[in-house]
Amino acid sequence: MYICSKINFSKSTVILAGVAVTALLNAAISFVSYFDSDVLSVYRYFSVGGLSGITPEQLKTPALIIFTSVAIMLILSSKVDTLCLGDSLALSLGVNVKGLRLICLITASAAAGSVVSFAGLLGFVGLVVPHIARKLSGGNTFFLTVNSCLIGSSLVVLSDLFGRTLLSPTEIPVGIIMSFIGAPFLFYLLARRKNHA
Amino acid sequence: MLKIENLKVEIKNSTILDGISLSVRPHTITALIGKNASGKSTLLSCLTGERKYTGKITFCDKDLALMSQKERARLISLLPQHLPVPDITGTDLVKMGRTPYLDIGRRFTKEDELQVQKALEAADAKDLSLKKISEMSGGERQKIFLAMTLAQDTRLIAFDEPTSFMDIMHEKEFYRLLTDTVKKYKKTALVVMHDLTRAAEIADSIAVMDNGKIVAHSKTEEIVKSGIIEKLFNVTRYDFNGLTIYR
Repeated sequence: MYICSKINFSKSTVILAGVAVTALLNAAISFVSYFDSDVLSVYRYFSVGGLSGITPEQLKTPALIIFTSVAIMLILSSKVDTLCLGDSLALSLGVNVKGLRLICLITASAAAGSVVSFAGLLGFVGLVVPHIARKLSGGNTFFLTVNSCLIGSSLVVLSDLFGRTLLSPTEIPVGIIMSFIGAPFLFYLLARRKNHA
Repeated sequence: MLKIENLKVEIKNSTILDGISLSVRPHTITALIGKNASGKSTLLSCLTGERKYTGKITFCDKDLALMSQKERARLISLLPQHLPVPDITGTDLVKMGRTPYLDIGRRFTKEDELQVQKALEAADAKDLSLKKISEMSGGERQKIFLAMTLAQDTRLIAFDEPTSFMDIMHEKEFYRLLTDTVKKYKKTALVVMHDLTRAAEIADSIAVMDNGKIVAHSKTEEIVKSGIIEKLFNVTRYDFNGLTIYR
């Protein structure tokens, strides 16, 4: 966020800053695991993503952060709609573009961070769900947020149920199931993009 | 009404606006003309707070630099040259025009709804209210965005080359709507224009920009008579049946 605030908050800057930070943190993980190989087994479970071993008691803090973030996004949804018109029009409509974008980044990062810190890197949820939600809600940020929450949580819970029952008593981590669903969806998106081009 | 004094904008050590001074009279259309890269769009972006500047811009003797973004948006609206294509209906877009009047504690009221309906009517865009923006033609999109700026209910509306992607029929229709709106609702318009003939036809006054400076600003007839347009744009003026044509 610091990098973005120094350059700009455009989509490409945020993505490139994310890639740079990921590379830096990966280097840190490799550095730690070089000295302590036990870390690698924990990291492997974290990188696959799963919900086993998490108790409702542990979920209090992330739930608070996630619900607060979602509430903030719902309150600001109409202002976020104006951001979709571009910076010039949003400014002309009286929106504090930089401030709003910063709040959105903080709330999205806090919510995503809370999930990842407990469930690990659940791949493809962030890619699959917003696309489905956008199909259902169009350009309305309020309904997009609500639909994303409902579809995202339902998809993860159903995938977890599937992972727990498919090869019972062996449990397949939910992250693996999500990847099996997400990867074909990504191919579908790429094919559709090619057709549009 | 709008008074710009010694406005300067520098981007990466290059001077874009070099001491602009301009007064815009209320309830009139002022055309801002000039070659490409003469600083017209930059001047408009200063009005909406998009660009940092030195100098002073006042609106009814109030300094714009001392206003919040929201206060500014209740006085000045902007219709940019490149219009986005959001995945929403015409009414949803026009409702966004009420953003400066809404807040966390102030949601959409009947008064706002009335303003939206009034704006749709004024822009002759009532039949577009349920149509998706992505399904509209260029001319229809311009109309619905005009309705959005009218719903913002500001005293000054700035237009940045509003008809650059329109055919001549839609362009004529757009400027008819604009002149009607200025007269009927007592609005003030500052319009960046490339079509010199159209500028001479619809504007009450013309400001001519060159190299980041206002080189002339006066009533349209005086600017036309002065011959500065011919000199600056290397065009010839023809007077035909009371109409001034530049070719």
